[in-house]
Amino acid sequence: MRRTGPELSRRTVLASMASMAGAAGLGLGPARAAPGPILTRPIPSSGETVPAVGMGTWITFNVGENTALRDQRVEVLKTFFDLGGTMVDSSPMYGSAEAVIGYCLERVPDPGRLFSATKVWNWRQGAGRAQMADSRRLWGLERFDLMQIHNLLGWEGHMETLKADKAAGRARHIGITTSHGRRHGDFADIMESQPLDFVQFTYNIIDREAERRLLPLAAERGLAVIINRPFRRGELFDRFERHPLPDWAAEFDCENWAQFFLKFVTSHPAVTCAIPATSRVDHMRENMGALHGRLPDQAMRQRMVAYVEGL
Amino acid sequence: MLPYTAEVLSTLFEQYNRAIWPAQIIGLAIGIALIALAFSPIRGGGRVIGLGLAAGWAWTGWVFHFRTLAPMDFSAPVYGAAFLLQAVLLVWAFGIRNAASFRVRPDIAGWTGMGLVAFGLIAYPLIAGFAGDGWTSARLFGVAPGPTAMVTLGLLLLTESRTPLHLTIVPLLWCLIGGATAWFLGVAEDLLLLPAAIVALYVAVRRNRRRATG
Repeated sequence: MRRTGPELSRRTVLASMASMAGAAGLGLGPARAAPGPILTRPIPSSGETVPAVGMGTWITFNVGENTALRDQRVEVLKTFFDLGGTMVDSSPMYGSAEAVIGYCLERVPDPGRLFSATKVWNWRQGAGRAQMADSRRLWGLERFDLMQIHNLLGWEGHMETLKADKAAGRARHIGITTSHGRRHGDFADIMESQPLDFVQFTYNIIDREAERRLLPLAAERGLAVIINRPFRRGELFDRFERHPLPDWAAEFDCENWAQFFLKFVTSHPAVTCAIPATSRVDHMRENMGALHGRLPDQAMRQRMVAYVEGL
Repeated sequence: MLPYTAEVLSTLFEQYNRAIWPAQIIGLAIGIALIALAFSPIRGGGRVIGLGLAAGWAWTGWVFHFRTLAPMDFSAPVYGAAFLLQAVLLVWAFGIRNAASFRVRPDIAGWTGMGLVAFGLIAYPLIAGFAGDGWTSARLFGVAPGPTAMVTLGLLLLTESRTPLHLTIVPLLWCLIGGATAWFLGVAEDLLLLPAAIVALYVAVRRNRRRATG
């Protein structure tokens, strides 16, 4: 929950994104993935910045009551915070994930850096209110930094609730989500008609449909963008990890495939934050390395796509 | 779209088995009693077998799906409802209508039914112990969905009249779901659910056709 300045206008944000992408292309960032400034992005509606890599919790934090597995997740979350991460995203749909996050937050030394993001996932508006209250209890929070409507489920009713919750301070930002290309038409219509702060959808080096409409629309509307499935639920590693990382990946300070995939996503000027999920500390370290160093420019992004499509 | 990993599912079964102990022994004893009744039929044995199976479906639906799996898996209440429905159908068919008696016969349906029952009662825990996640995570008849479905399909092939196909629908569906889950997660003991379902359905339909034409 960091604030960096006054509310930004859409133009300011677009200009800032353009200059960031330009700087990345010119190679003005730090030379190597190393301690130092991390890549942050502004939330257009509030002016806050968030690190461009967050943490998802689908599957990875759904470990039930098992104490050993829960304690492993404490280490994952601790590593995430230690390496500069703030945004943690979850959902009541993810089984015990929210309860496990609450368990972890009680045990990490400084959960104050948290940017809490979850979702409402229910057909009915009244049940959705109760579900959001339950999420606050499970996380141990009085308010969420971001409350989203999961996969547009019952979105009309929940939108009313979210607007009221934002006004009442129970949610600082509101948004909608979808995944894997579902309902992009409806999604875009809601982006155009509702007072959203955030949108969340799927985008990765293989699934690039969002480049055509959702990403440009988010930039035009001044919406922060969270990207889910940046690794295509791990499938990108299954498909490409056996191949060598190209030598030219060093030109944008990329040390491993995780950073290759993440830097492709976060280098899109409309993207605010990618939220890869992991249950392993070493993978978390690889992911968070993508917050450092240069980003690929547009020509390099095209080269990245061509490379993976040729494998 | 499974919301957990194989490791988490294994630890879930481990905790579940610890929490319900010694219900597994009771389930196993009921399973052995049911197959004994099919080997040596007695008056009212069909009713006892039906009610014994129904008890397993009801327990698995309520205690496993609703109480244990539901906090981890948003689909579990649907599974639980289907298992409770199957329990009601079994009570109705065998407990109330006394629709069929059971007998082990030396024919294809008899051998197939016995094979499925043996696999559900014995092979399941053995595979868990030697090739799966270990004894503590074993799935057992009457308290876990896979072996309960498999034993039920096996016993339904041992009815003296036609196999009541409507009672195979939920077990077959579970074999599909459990088999797909096993495939994605690599759960050794549930991997045979899919072939078991195909074999059971084929034998049941073939047997019913023969009885209809013969």
